[in-house]
Amino acid sequence: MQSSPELEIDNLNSFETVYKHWFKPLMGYAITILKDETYAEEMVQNVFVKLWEKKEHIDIHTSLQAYLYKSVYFESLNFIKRQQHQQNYETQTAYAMKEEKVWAHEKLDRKQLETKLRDALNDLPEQCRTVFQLSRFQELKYREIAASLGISEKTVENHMGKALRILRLKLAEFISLLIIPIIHFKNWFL
Amino acid sequence: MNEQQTYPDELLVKFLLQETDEKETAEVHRWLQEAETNRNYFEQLKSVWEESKSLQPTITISQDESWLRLKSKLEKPVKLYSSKRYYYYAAAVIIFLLGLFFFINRKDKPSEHFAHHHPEKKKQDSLLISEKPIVVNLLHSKQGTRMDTLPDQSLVTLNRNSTLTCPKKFEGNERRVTLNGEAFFNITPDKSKPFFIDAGNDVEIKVVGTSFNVKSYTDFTEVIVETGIVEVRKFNRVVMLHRREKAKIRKSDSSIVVQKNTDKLYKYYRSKEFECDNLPLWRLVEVLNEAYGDSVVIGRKELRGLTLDTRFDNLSLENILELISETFDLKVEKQGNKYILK
Repeated sequence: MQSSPELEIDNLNSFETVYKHWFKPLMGYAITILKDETYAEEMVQNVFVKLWEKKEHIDIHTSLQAYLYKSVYFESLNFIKRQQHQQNYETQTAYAMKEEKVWAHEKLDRKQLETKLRDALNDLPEQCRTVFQLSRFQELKYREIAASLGISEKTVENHMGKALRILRLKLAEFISLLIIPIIHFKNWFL
Repeated sequence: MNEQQTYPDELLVKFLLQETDEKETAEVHRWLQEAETNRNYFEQLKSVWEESKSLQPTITISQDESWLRLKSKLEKPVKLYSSKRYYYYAAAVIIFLLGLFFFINRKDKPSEHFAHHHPEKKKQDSLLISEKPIVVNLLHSKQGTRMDTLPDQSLVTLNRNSTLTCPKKFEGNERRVTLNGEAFFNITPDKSKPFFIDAGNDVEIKVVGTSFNVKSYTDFTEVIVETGIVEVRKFNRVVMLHRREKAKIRKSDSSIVVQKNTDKLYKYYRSKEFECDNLPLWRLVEVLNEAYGDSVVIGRKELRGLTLDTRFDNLSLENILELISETFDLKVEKQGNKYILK
């Protein structure tokens, strides 16, 4: 894992380093929840504004990474709640998806698959999804995930097994699209 | 396959990610050899794992730009005091300021009250303010794009050849600027002080705190909303514009046409990239011409409808045209300053 700048944010310069270090992973995380980049940035920034405001008396029990992921998660959830309140979120997402489908006739299957997969990923329980994302997109080892989220490696294993099991189940109807002919399998296996 | 059957998912995934030790690896091998269905199942997990990589979100916002936005938020001294005592102090200060305000207002009014062409009471406040000599900042982008922070920490990115006029300090109960050309605004929220843009063609834009793109050209004005809600007004017509909506207003026409905004091309001057998602060629050419000055022409009508699904990242016009001509097997002919696609 990249050496992660822990919390030494007494001045703007070091805070900048911390922000830039976590920007992409946290954006990725927020985008999967919100499906919108601009909103994702807003959430990530809110988390850092709060972190900055309480930097003197913040008490982080686990690691900064765990803290940040959790905060982005709650920030995004609150945001969605507010949006749903205004009945904006659902209709707009639905609209955007409809549009996409109209544009891409020939790639319908692939797009459907991707949408399905994205929804399935979104539906995973929070920690399960975080673990999966750290493994899949950040390509962290189990050990690193465990350390950064303050959980045991066994828990990481459980989450990963669960995540893949659920994703596979939800994609059942598309599996034929995905599957590589079994013949390849033998080479791989030996 | 029997869905009721349970599979050693944890072990299989662990094996897939090469996290197993020797003993576990052997166990997986044994399990796989037991039955064809087992191998099928593993194969499926593996393909789901591989496919899920495609969900890796693409991030188009640059971290440097984002940091600037964050920094401007941090530098605003927003302090939350938990101690009760501060409320008393705050109350005292507010009462004092209110007193001062009324005192000054009372003093000012008689002298400013002479014949004004706007008799409505509401206008008076802004009139009072606009009569003061305002120091004006002129932001001009010349040939490149330019990013700047406004006095209220709002961020503005000007496209080339664009000018923004704005006071050195926003006084009174509104923030008001004038735009010529194209700019992207990310406005610092302040409900008590709405932000107005005079966007040419008699169009006025009002927001409280959102981000949006504005084109203000001599014959038309266009607004695209990225986040939040934007109020667009021309004379007595008002439209509330939401995320991913676009309003276009022509100079000669007082109607405001609202559409869904389907492409992300309006970001090109900030992101330096052209994102084409099933984009018709004519639309790409339109934006290229905006970006590089009129120079590309589609030579054959049939070509207009060809669609592209790609992204040009920080390329020169020549490079982009070269890629287009390769993709569609076209010729690019140069005639003077013009490129003609044939």
